Amino acid sequence: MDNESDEKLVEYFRSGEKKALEVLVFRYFKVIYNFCSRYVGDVNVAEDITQETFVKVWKNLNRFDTHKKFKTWIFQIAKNTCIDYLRKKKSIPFSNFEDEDGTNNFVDNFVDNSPLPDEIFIRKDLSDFLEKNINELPVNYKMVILMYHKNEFNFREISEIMDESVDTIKSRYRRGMISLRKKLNGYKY
Amino acid sequence: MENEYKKLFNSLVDKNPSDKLFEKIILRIGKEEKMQKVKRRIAVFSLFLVISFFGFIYSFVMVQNALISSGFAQFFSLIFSDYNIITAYWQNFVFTLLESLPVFALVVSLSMFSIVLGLFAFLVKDIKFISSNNLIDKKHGF
Repeated sequence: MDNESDEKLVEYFRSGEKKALEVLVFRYFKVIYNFCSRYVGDVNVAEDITQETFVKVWKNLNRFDTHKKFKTWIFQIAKNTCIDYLRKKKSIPFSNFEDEDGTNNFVDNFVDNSPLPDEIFIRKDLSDFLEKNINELPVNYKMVILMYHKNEFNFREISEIMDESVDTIKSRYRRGMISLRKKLNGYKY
Repeated sequence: MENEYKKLFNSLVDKNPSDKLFEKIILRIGKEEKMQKVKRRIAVFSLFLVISFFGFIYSFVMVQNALISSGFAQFFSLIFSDYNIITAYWQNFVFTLLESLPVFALVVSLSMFSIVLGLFAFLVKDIKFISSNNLIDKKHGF
């Protein structure tokens, strides 16, 4: 059962195989935990949100459309659970959300296609350095970038997860990357 | 450029959750499953409680009517009006009282009453279980 596709496991679960759910949980709990901890920016509550996400998955598994991608669906639930948590905690600054038309003045539209400085890749603390700089981005930009590069979603899948248009997602990605590039390029080595 | 970013983001190390997270998730799902069953049971028991409560009221009225029509009430009132005669013939009196007792109606009424009490006790227990779990969820911000 461990080698079956996610969608097949969902079908097994629906036919009464409880073990299938355990396989799905095992397959995704770490990646969802990391997604949640980066989304809410708090590793302490990320475990609770991860648990809540999987409870929601279990509750709605019978309604999941197996023609769609399970990975996209579970990230969508995780994102909604993070938003629910943040709303209750009222900790999302409004400045973190740009308008639907992408209006946000913190970056210009200049796209820098020059290669990243080589010094970045030889840093011993590259992971922490990158994490720190990514965390300084507004949450919506940060999550789009991470989903694209870290979780290997395409823009259409990210737009499904974030419940936004593909153009908005592309715009956020572009703006986020410009901002990240500026931070990385501006670092004194 | 794409490969460069791939290389860059591959260096981003994922955080490790606690060793028990997987077990916690499975336990939590198990608890939610139990909660769901309890909620369903509450719905069914509530319906039965309402039905059995009306059943008890009906059976109580039935007992009242049966006590009047069987003459039990009149025989019983003799205790207060003719106490001396009753004490003299107490064995006959007890026998008459028992004979006029509407046993069937009483059994039905008492059964309904015990069903109402039983269902109520189960409901209180289940509601306590649900509310204690809801408190835990609220504590965690959900």
